[in-house]
Amino acid sequence: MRPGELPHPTDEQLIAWYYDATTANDELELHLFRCRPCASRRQELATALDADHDRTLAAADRYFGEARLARQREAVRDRIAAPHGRVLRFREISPAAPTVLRAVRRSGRWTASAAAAVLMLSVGAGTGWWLDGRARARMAPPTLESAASFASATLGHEHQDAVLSAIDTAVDRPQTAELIALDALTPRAGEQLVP
Amino acid sequence: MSASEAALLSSTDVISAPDVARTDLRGRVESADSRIARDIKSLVAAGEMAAAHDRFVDLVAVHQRRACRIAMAYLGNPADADEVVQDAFVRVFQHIATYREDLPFDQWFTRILINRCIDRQRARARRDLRLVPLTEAAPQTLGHSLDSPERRVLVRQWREAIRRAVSKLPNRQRAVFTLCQYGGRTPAEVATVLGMREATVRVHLFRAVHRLRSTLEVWREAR
Repeated sequence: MRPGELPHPTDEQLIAWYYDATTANDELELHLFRCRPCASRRQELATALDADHDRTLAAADRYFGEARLARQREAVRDRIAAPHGRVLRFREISPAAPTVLRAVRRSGRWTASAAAAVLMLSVGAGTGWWLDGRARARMAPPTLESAASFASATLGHEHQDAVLSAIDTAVDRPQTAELIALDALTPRAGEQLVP
Repeated sequence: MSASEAALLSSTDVISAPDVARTDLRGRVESADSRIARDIKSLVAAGEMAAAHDRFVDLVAVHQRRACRIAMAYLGNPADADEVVQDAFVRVFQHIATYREDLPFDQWFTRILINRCIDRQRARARRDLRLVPLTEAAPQTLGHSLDSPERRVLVRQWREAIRRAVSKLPNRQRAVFTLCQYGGRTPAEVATVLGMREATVRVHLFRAVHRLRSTLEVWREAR
C-alpha cells in the first residue's frame, strides 16, 4: 500500500458497498480501481450475491405467476369483505341464555354426583354391616359347631374325650334339650342302608 | 390506478411503486401507493366500504409481487408465503385507520409483512420440533454441460442449500438479509422499516452474509 492511500477495505465495507453503492466514497472507489486483489474480492462477492438474488427471485416468480397473483388478490378481497375475516367464532354461552350444551353439562354433573353419593352410601353400609357382623361374632357365646371345630383344631387326641364330655353336657342343658328330639330323628352313619 | 396498471407497474421493478411519486402542495414527495392508501383511509372513514375494497385491490396489485418474493425468500415455502402475504394485506386493511399519512406506505406494509413472516417462522419452528429433519444434500462435482438435467438437479440442490442456510439465520439477521438481498432495499431503508439503527442493520447484514458465504460461493460455482 502506498503512503497516503486507504487500507484494503474490509468485508463489511464491501458488503455495505454491494447493497448501497452510495456508501462508497471516492477513496474506496479509487482503491478498488487500483488494487487488483480487492477488485477481485468485490467481484467475487457481487457475483455470488447476484446469482443468489436472480435464482431466488426467479423461483418465486415462477410460482407466483400472474394467474396465482390474480387469485391472491381475489382471496384478499373476499377476506376483507367478509365481516370477520378468517376468525373462527365459537358459539357464545351467556348465563342469561342457557344453551343445550350447558343443560347437558348440568344434568351430567347431577348424574355423576348422585352416582358418587350412592356409591359412598353403599360402601359405608357395607363396611358397617361387616364390622357389625365381626363384633357380633366376637360377642356371641361359642356354639357347638364352633366349639367342636375349635377343639379339633387346637386340642390333641388325649383331650378329645374331655371335649366330647363337654359337648354331652351342653346337649343335656335345658336350653338345648329341645334339640334332642331333633337329634333323634337324624340318621346315624351305622343306620344307613347300603344298596 | 387500475389493477392492470398496478400489476404492470409492479412487474417492471421490485420497488417500482414508491418510484412513481409526485409532490404535494406542501412540497413532500408522495408515492403512488401512499396516495392510494390515503384514499382508502378516507373511504373507510366515510363508510364507503365497497369503494374502499376496490381501491385496496389496486394497492394489493402494486405490492403483491414484491411481497411474495420477500415472503418466499424468508420462509422458503410458497404455500406459507402465499398465506403470510394475504394475512399482511388483510391486516393492513383492518388497521388502515391507523395509517400515518406522513410516512411512506411501503415502509408500513413491509414492517407488517416481516412481522407476519417472523410469526409464521416461529410457529413453524415449534411445529418442526416434532419432525425429523431431512438429510442435508452434499455438494457434488460441477462438470455438467449447461441446462443438462444433471445441472438442473444440481441447481435445485444448491437453491435448497441456500434456503436451509438462510433459514438457520437468527430472525433479525434473516429479516435484514431478506429485505436487502431480495427486497431491493438499502440498509438505510431497512433500518427505517425495522426500527433499527443503520449501523445495527449493517452489522446484521455483514454477519448474515459472512455466515452464508461458503454456501453462496458454491452457489456461484453452480451458476
